[in-house]
Amino acid sequence: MIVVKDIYKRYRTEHGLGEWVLNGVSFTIPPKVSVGLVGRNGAGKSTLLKLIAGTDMPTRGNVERHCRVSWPMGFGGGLQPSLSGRQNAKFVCRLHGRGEDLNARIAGIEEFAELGAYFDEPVKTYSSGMRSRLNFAMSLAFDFDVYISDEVTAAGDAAFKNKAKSAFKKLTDHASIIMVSHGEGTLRDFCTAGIWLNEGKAYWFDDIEDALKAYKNSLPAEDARMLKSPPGKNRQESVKSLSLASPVLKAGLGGKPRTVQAQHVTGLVRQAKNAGLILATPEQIASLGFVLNEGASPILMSREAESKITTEYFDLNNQCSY
Amino acid sequence: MRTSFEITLTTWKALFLREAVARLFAGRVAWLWMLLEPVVHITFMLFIFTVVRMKTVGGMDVVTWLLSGMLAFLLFRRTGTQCMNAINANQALFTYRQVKPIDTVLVRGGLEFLLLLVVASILVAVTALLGLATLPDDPLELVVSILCLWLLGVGFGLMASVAKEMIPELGKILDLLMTPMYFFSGVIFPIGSIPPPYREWLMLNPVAQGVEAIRLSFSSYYHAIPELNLPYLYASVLFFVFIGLALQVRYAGRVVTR
Repeated sequence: MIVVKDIYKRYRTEHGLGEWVLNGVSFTIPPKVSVGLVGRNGAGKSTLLKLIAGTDMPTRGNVERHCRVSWPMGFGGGLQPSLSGRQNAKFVCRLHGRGEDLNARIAGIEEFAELGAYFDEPVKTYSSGMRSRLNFAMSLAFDFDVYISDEVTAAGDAAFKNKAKSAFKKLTDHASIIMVSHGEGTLRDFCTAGIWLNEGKAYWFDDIEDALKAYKNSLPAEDARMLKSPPGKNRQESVKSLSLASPVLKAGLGGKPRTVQAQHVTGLVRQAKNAGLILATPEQIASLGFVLNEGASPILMSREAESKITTEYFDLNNQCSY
Repeated sequence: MRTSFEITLTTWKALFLREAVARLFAGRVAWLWMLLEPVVHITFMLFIFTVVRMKTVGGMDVVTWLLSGMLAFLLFRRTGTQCMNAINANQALFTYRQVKPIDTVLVRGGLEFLLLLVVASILVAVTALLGLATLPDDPLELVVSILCLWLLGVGFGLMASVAKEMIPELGKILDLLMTPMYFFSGVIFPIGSIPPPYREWLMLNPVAQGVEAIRLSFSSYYHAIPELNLPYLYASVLFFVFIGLALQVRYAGRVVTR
């Protein structure tokens, strides 16, 4: 059982104290219940995961763990770049007090991670996919009651993804998972309950479907906000005219506007084309009365296609962010 | 369920082995440089001293004087700098909640102590065999003085590692300060040859006190600097370690947060 008691979290930025990322969050995760965290980018999902895992301290409040909880796995953290994969694996085994069957565990990790000769090379020479494979393999080597996963199934190539998924499925027989994923399918596969994070508050749902619904309902307005309204018009009007135009207009990279590399944008555009979606030209966007954020690639799509592309697109997005 | 003490012990063991591998086998024959650094320093200074035809310093053979002083200072400097960089270098490992910032600092301090103990034993034994230097006269006093210098290094590292994380520029300033420390600690020139008002000021430096205490333990005939004040040395060790631990406790959470 994990009890999260009224936690507040904010980070120190270069300009002093930041905004509250989590603003009075409390919930209890009962034993054997797998939970999915949903929310916009920057809503504090990864922060909350880190706090639950004990990697980070809340500014106020506390987290009680009444079971064995893993470290947050998936984003390639916890690896020392100058040491080899084997040395890193040894360190983690020793850290968890598994000195006696060290060799067997290392062999297991080596086999699952499928790194070949690279297992004895320094981690800094690894690609991001290899890094998360090693990280994932390491966490599987221990029997935790609760596994903390930050987009773990999004790592690696298709073959590894499937392997990771089936390994994860096997885990859920005896352990539970707290996960962040933008893939709705993944969340439905593994989680029964859900937590929706919005504006620093957490909302508990006994059914992950309800959490996803709540998250989705909050979305359209959010998306519209990504488009800067042209001068002279206020935001409300922009939202109205957006919903009047029957195809939904989405700015290319969800959540907050951010800088992305050109190749990621073209990857996204190619994917959209393959899915049979129409791409809007800047002129078309302008004719609808919107100004596009810098770096965003516009996609014009129907409502049916929207749900399809969201999942796909987010998976792609996660690979990019590595 | 393991007790907190068991968890700390296993964490220290894992960190220690990890640090040892990184320190000894990071580059090609990294362990050799550890031994060569004091040898090169001492040989060079010995050459200078022989050119000015200095046979003894304060009634002590010049080789023993240089050797004991250099090793004493290195004990402080290596421990200090290694501990200072411990938190920054191990940032990735705070993913595992067992690992606290202070663990990495203390483990590095312990490792550095052991490594320098091996280096010093080799150097003292070899020079004594060759008849160049003498073995310590007062081993007990030597042990206490070594502990003092090491704890000064650890205390400095505990303070500096946190300070560096809070104010990154401070790390650069502390690095800069380490070079003059070499001179102000009387490692390569005798502080005893400086006239009184300035000598007293220089001897406010606890590292200079420690270096002098180690020399005295090597030869009981050594004319130590009159300002050598052992209670002052012990008090500064306590002060360094206490402030260092206090800073770690106070800012542990903030250091982990990035």
